Amino acid sequence: MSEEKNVKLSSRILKALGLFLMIVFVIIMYIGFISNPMDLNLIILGMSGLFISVLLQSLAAKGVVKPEFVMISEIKCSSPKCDFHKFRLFKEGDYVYKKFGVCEKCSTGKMLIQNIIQMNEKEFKKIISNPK
Amino acid sequence: MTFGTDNIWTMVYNAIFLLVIIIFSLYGQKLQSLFWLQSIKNAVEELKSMTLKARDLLVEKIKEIGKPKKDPKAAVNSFLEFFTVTPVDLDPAGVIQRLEHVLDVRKNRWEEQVKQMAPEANEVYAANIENALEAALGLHQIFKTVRHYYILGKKSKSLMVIMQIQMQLSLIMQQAKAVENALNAFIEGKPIGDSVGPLVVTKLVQNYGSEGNPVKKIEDYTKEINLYELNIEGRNAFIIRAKGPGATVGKPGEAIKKLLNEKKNISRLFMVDAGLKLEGEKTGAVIEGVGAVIGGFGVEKYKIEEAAGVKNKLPMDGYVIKESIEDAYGPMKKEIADGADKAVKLLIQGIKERTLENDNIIIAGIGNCCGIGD
Ligand SMILES: [Zn+2]
Repeated sequence: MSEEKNVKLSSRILKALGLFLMIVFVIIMYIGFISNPMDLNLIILGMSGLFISVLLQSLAAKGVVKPEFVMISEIKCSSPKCDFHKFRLFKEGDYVYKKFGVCEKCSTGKMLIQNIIQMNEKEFKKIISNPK
Repeated sequence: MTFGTDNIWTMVYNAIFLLVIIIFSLYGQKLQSLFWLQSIKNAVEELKSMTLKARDLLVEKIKEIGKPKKDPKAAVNSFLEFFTVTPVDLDPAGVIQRLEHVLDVRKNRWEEQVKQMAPEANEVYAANIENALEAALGLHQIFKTVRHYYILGKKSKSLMVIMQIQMQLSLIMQQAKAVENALNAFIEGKPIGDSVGPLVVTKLVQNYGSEGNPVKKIEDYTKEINLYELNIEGRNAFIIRAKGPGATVGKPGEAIKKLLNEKKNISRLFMVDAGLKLEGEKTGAVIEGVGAVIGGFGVEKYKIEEAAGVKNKLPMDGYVIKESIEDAYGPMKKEIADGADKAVKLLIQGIKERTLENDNIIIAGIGNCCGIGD
């Protein structure tokens, strides 16, 4: 649903090629059938071509890439007056509501892990470059 | 296209055509079962490598954290074959108590085993290792079952056996991946989808607890269960959850029972848990209902229904955060964490609507506390 399927570019090209070949060979087969008398050479060429194009398409179907996921920790300052907020990659030993160190911004409050969630890597990069 | 034409291609084509029909009508089923067997074999290989990888990962972790004197590999290997015999239910009287006893014995045995394997591990890591061991065992069982059917199918050549396993293969692999994800999460102490219940109640404690509204915390109220007492919207709330941030579940039913015995005038019980969604339902959606929302073997559910429902006639409200089985075992997704926030809002709304000020209420967050502190 929310996980869109990422397909490798090479698979996309392969799939399009398969589809294109399929159409071409269907047309060849059709010409073979309508010519008078029927041109068996063309029909057989068309059939074997169809077989190859189907094979190509089934090969292309294997190239689905799962999106890469990363685990991230959302960190805030424990002091309610401070608006410090950042995301970083999950480190072993992190847990939700862990308090540690001192706040990087106000240096009175403590760092507090607000949330630990799994995110799409792309989404994470977007957040890192453009924090809310 | 008849025989007798002088076109060589026609003859070749006809011969091939005939051959294909003969092969498929005589050996079609056999070919099919060969294909199926091959796909089962591939799955067996994959499951095997998953199991081995999981075991090695676990052994490495145990070595790193537990600093055992001898290599834990042999112990882990033998523990992967661990079995539990559930009690006979032919005579159902007292089956819950008997089941609880078996589960208690099992739990104690596992704890001892982990202590032996990883003597230096602290409480949190010991719980995590215990759960990871459980996941490794699950993976091993899946591998063994699929391998059993593969060999059985190959030996008996029974299409029924082969078909049965082949058709379930994608679902089995999905489940195996879920268990593998769980193992990785436990080893690193990441919150999992099932942790959302405790997360919701912890959010309540964090949001409402302050200097003016101190939180009274009783650690290990019952084994591996913490109790927090604080004021929420003018109500006196007792919050129950497993002890984090280690991967513990505890016995919430036991804690609720104890609490109901100690505090006489409880007016309502709220429970929050992760629940399985159907395909097509939205991950992280929060739904409301009544009854004891708690999974597992049914022992804790029975206790809650008995103590809260039958004995005290307590109204029970349930909140369920929907997720798939893979999400429940895998690292917590953003949608589920967002669902936790939604559940907090609904819970507060429910408390305001269905209880009066100065009421005593119990709020229980059910689930594995892996990666959830307080
Ligand atoms: Zn700060």
